[in-house]
Amino acid sequence: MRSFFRMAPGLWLALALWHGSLSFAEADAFQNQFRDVASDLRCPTCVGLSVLESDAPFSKQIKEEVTIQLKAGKSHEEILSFFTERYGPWILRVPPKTGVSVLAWAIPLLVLVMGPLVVWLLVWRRRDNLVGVEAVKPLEEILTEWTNDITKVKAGAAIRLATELGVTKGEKA
Amino acid sequence: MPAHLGFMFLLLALIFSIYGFGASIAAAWLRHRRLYRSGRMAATMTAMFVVLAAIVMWLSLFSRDYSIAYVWRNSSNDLPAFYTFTTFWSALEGSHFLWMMILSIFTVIALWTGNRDNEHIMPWVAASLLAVVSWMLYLSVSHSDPFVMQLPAPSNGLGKNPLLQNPYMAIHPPTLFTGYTALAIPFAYAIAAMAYGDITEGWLKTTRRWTLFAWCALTAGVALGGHWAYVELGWAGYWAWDPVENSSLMPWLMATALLHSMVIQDKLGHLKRSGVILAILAFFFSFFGTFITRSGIITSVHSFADGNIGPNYLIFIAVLLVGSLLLFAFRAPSILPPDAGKVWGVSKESALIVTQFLLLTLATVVFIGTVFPIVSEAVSGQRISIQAPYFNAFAPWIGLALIVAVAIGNLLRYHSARIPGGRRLMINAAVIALVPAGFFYWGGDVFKTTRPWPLGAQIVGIYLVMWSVICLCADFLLRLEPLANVSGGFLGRLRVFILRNTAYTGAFIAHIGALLAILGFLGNYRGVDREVTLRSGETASLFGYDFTMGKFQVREEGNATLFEAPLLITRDGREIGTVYPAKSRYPTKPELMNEVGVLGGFWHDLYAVMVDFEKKSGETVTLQLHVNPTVRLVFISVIIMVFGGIIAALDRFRGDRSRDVAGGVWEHSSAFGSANDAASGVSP
Repeated sequence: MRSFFRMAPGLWLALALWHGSLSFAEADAFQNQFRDVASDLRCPTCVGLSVLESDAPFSKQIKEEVTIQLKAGKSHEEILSFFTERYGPWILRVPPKTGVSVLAWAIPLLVLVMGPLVVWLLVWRRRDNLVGVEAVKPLEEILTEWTNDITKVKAGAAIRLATELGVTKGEKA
Repeated sequence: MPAHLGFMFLLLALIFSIYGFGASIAAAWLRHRRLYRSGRMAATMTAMFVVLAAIVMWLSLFSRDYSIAYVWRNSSNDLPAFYTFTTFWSALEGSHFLWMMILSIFTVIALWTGNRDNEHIMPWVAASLLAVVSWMLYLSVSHSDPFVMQLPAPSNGLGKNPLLQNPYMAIHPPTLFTGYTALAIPFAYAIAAMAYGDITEGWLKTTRRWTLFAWCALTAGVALGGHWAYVELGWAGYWAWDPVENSSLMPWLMATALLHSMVIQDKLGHLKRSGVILAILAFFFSFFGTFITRSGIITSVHSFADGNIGPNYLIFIAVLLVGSLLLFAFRAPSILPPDAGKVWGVSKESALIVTQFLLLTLATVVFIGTVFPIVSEAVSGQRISIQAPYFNAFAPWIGLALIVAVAIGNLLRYHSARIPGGRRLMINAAVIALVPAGFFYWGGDVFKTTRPWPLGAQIVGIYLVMWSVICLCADFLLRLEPLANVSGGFLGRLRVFILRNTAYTGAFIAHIGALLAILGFLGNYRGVDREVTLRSGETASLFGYDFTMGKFQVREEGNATLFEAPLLITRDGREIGTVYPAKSRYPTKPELMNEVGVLGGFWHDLYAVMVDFEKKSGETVTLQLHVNPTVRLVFISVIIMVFGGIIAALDRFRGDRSRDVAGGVWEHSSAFGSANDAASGVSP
């Protein structure tokens, strides 16, 4: 009996924790869902705030509507599209990824991708140019290029000579 | 009568500024020194008359002269003296006036102090500045006249906006405007440099100081605005990415990029033209911000067209931008670096360029997010919103990249792809960073974040910030090593180093501040809040804290009536403090304002807003309770950043060093190593 009494607070606590965490988790899940939706909708009467952060009458109405629809089992996207139909894409806090608005997403992405490329061109390519100007090539490479050039010149001269002599391809002069 | 006097002063100022502009242009054209001096005198007279007009305005505010419409609309008999003083800039015409006054004073300071280093271009500087001043004065006497009269004078005013009756609103606008207008001086110097056709070391010295000054003021101004929003608006945040905030961030980003480009210009003589273009853009964006906030274009394109001042601003900023860029297109090719074929490669200068790229990318995101809704509505008629989630989709990535860039950029040396002791240093830092990062995870309750994405962002972000801070500190110590033979031990070396490398020290402090700010921003990922309705004596708990409501009370404070609910905060039965969230009512306004109760701490603030209360009995009160992590840290870090900026501006050697660059001393690239870098503490 004594040991039971000693144990009792512990049991009680465990029970409370178990019970508490359950309902807490449920409430939490709903709260999280609600927050996600409410923070994706703009407060129609404020500058820069979501309905979640605002206590303006209009925002309160929207929050109530969101709560009702969530409890009715509607999903995040369904609720957002409900409000978009009613108020236009303006009610969403981010521009839609369709139509002209896609530019708002594309331009920063483009800058983020192209920027390093531009930096690379400016910063690295300049070095390549410099290397060309200073002719810090291996000697072999230069020699090969020379030889190629000479071969080309030779070939050109031969063709010219051949044309002058009226020799067509495949014939021997 | 005072209205006439004030208006007359403004008119006189306008006449003087136009004369000064003309005289400066002519002086530049004819290389006529006395004519320039006359123009400078005219600029001085302009500033004097603007200040006189301002004094008239202040006197009419204090004498409650409601025959002036501005005074009538924005103040009332009950207003305390302090807020009567600040009413000067609490509406459109007045803040335009303040802008103009600060600009004309800075013009005078710039003209009278710039001569020693920049005599050859001063007429152009004067002309550019006076062009801006005279245009603002023109607006001030035409569309934005603060001295419009109305007779007969009413016996009481309409009252000041209660949101502006807050100490932060008293200092935030002047600080921010100081930053905005100080950017006019680098801009004027950029125009002058293009007109002259080259950049000299004196130019760099002067421009660098003004940019640093503007940067400090902007940093402080933006933060003060954030703090005002935090304690006054009651939505428990300091930054909402709203267009007004964004428009103050863009010039800051530009000024920051400009400073980084100036470092390269100073050390290597490169990026002269990008310095010029950034100076132009920085000032353009400070005007653009003013335009966005003044013209009412944010709320709707249609409200913009109704006013006169909006289209005028638009024309001016368009002329400003197109004119400067045309000048740039024609003249920039003459501004060349000393050695055209520079090898960049992996080096500190390349890292600085990457940093600038990141800053400018963030500026692009902010710019698009701010103007896209306007453009979209004007062009396609489709109304869309761009708010915080959009910016939060990009900003963290750029922030993350910046954290890494700060560390690596500081460790790298000019002209060198090798970090002295680099790999070991960075690995050691990566190991050591585990300790402060772990401490921060623990103290900041990071692991209580339930969502995976914010949790990950915090874990990575905090760790990287700690790593970066350690890298910076290690680099600082590394730079002290060449001073081993300086007497006085560590402190003696430190003293010599700081005296000789004031600019580097300032930058070091500012970077630490910036990193801590990012650490503070990360706290936004783990805020929690809860809405409760309480009766007197009841308790609500949040995040381990218990909030017990005391007796509801009504009391007077200044001109306001406060309806407040004291909340006793305890944790595990231990008393921590009391906050007083309240609703307040001002005599001239019907609506109730929020007075938030904040109990600040290092790890988090406890923030209570009264949403509503039972109007008849005051028995039940609905409260919004927030735990806002590391808000304090953000504001502390801003103080550190500004402090760093001020230190950097105090550098006495800057001018001479850049002269070395122009003289070609830096061409001997073989002598470049860590010893010839900023760490060359012993050689002047």
